Amino acid sequence: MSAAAMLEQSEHTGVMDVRGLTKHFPAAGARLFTGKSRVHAVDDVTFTLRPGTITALVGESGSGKSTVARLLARLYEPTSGSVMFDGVDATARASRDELLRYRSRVQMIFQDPFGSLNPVRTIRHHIERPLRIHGVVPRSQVRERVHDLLRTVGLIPPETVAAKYPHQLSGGQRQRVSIARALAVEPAVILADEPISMLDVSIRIGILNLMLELKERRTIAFLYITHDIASARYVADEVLVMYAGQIVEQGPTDSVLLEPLHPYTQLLLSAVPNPEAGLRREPLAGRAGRELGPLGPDTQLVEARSGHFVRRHAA
Amino acid sequence: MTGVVENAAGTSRSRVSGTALVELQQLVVDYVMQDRVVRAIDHVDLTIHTGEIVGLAGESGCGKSTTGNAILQILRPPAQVTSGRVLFRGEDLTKLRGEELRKFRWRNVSMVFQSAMNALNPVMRVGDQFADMMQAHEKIDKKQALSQAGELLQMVGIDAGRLRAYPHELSGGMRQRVIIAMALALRPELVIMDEPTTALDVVVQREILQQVEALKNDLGFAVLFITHDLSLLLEFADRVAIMYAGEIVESAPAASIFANHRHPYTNGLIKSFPPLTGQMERLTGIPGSPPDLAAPPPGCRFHPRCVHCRPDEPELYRRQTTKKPELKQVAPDHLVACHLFGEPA
Amino acid sequence: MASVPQVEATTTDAVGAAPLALPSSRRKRKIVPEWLRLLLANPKSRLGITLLLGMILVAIFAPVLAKWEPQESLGLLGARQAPSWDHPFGTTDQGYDIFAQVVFGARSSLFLGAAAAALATVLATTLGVLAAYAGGFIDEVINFLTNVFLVIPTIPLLVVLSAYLKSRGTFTMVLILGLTLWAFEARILRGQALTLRNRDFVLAAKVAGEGTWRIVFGELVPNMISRIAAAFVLVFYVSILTAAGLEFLGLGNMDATSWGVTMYWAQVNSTFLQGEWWPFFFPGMALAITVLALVFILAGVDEVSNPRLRSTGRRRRMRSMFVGGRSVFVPDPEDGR
Repeated sequence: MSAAAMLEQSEHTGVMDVRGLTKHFPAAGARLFTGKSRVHAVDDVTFTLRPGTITALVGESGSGKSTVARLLARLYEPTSGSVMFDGVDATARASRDELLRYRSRVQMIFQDPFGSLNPVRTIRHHIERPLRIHGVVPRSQVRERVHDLLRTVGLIPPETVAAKYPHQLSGGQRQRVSIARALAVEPAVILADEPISMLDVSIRIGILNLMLELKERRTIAFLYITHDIASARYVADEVLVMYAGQIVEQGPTDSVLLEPLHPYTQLLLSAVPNPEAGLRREPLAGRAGRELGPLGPDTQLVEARSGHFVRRHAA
Repeated sequence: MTGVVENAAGTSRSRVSGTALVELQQLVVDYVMQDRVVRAIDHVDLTIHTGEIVGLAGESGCGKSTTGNAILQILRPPAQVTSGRVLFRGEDLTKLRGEELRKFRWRNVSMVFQSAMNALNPVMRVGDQFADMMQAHEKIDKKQALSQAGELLQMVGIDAGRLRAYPHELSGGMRQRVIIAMALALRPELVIMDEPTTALDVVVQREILQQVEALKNDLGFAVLFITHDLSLLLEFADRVAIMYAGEIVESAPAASIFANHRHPYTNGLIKSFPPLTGQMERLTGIPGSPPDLAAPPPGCRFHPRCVHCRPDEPELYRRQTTKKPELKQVAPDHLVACHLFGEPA
Repeated sequence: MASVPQVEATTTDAVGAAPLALPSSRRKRKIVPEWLRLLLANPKSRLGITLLLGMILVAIFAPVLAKWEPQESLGLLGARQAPSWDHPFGTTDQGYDIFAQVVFGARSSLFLGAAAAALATVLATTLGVLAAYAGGFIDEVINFLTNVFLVIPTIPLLVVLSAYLKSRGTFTMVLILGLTLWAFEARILRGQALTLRNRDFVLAAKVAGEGTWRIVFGELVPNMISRIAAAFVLVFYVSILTAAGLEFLGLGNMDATSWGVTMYWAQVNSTFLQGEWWPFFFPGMALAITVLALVFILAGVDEVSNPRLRSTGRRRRMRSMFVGGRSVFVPDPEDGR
């Protein structure tokens, strides 16, 4: 697709086109002792977020998945690449107004329910601020809108919850507050960075179900970042598998997770605890002897099946 | 009871001898604070046999870590053992003091913690810490200690040259292996592992657990594996005990928990893990949240969140809201604490 | 704008069976803010607060307490009196009542200290936190400024300024003290802000669209209150001591009634050599008590903000699992995940 066509498609359609996104951090060489790189680099990442879909970005720590989210949230500037959204390249320098407009369309949820809320502020404050900053509703309606948002995420009664401080809520409730805050500006895209990994097991499903609801009712595009593949299967329409900054495989969820093509994906899937599979599986060979598959500079993504891309050695 | 234990997949896992190694009998642990007392563990019974992997599963605040600490007698004020016994080969550990307790710790029972960085001194080389620890327990000189340490590292799959490294120079997985090696240094009979792999990636986790299993088969120690990841236990453990709000609500071989669980909480927990293969359906998790242990619900602690607790069955409802269910046997080696099962008193 | 489409929340997280009204005993406790309660519970700061409060009351009620005016001359006969019922603290060489000088002197010391502390704290907070959050060029500039002020030796600067400035009024003193003492705290507050700035809630505020100043004063500063309070108390007592020191050397505001000035005249007239200890002792004691009170309060503030320092109740210790096991630590079970 030509650049002009891409731009046209992205005009307020809620489609986010990420092309060749790359981020290099200056590495302190002395710290790298292990084979796997510790620098959170992102290397030529390309994908599209569409309204009403959940795209899962799966990878282990150090794969660069969180960095991708922060780049899309414009907390960092990329080394190269582009992010086409609303007719603009979001990687270009922006004025304060342009940035504000972007932030009214693209929001983020963080991993740590304990750290993502200001401990000395009420819940009401957290949700009011985005409403006021972006003028989402007239002043007279702000209070009611806060309550609406709390109801939407299932925190009832909203008046009681709004008056509380973060430490008075449980982890799951705090994450719901974070979601309500993200919803306040009525975004087209929500970047969810490991939203459930610090929650108790029995509460995780609730948050995932909430995401599914929001995706359907409000046609939001979610980027769901996680290391928990099973949860990715539960919510995602498309899965991207990352390793050391590169996407190694991407495609429709069941195609990638049930019929993985790249050795690294296969390794990941075989390592996930799965009581049904049990010890029928081969024990993993020692790390030194394991072939992780085509990775690194001489490889590229190739369409292996319809919509299902896998990284292979360049011809 | 000697026999071969099967894991969830039905493959045979290990031979478990009948000897009870550690027995918790009606153990009660309270946190005594200025204005209130919080009961962290409420009359818990648990048995670990020699060579057995027992999994202790539950969510945050259920008391599973406290249980592990109680076995090793490392509870700190305001936590205290209010009543009950912790038996190691018949000897009551709560009665041991000072030197005897110190000797018992690490030699008979040792522990592996979640975050190795909390357990390793960041400014000492790994080898020195090993030697330190071994010399504290045995009369050997530094050279011997270091050579033994080297052997231990190799046992867990690390090159002995790494003895000269500082903790921050090792990856997370390697650090965890070091901790495991330290825990095995004196060949204890029981190793308590408290979320040993939670902070690690899934691939590293599997490697380490495979290693632990191989070592277990070699050295013959038992493992108490404490974690919130029930799916991991169903693969890895021989028997699993589920804890909720300071009590054990179900205890059975891993295969039975997986295929034949009874307690509604266990059911909710298992249904909170989306399947990796097969049919995908909408899950519901468990509504509500764990109770405040300072003021737990009367009767069955799980009843506010239980779908089977409904006022339209008045007799059952009355029992559920007033009487605490006791652990009853519903099948061989399968105990459940629930009013839906077993005969009422 | 269209109303929010109501998404039916099939998953709810009802805040639960928490009663809407707290039982009355707990309601009463809410009147006393948490930080005050903690400060009062700590024995050190309780003592400090009591002493400081006492000194403040003395300053406020000075006209009522003192029988004489501080500059009221009692004539040659009234001079050099040892402490007596009439003059509890004795009189100076010039014939002034020392008790009056001490109680009125409290006013100037306390006011000076508080004003200088306020100025220095405002400067330190604004510049320090801004530098930490904004980073980059702004950080460089502010750091440079901070270093310049840090490098200049305070006492000699004060001495030189005082010697040169025509007016040495209170306002000037406050300005001088505030401007020389802010840099130290700015560095510390910048350090603390640096640890906070990458916390998720700050990033969340940024992603929500908050501007820099709102993040500095709305998100970061409210989480640094105890450190800022500590800065205030520190500059408070350093100012008092420094001002008294300058006055003692004859370089302060010598027209004011203050403890330093009283001691200056005592020293100039060599009263101590003549066995008259009271013009030194009483102002000196007042000074010492005030500074001590502030130091105790500071200790209390530190302990409140860093629970690990608390000596009462739970003390966090790293426990070793072996005798001589200085190498392996058992994590505090309360440290949790």
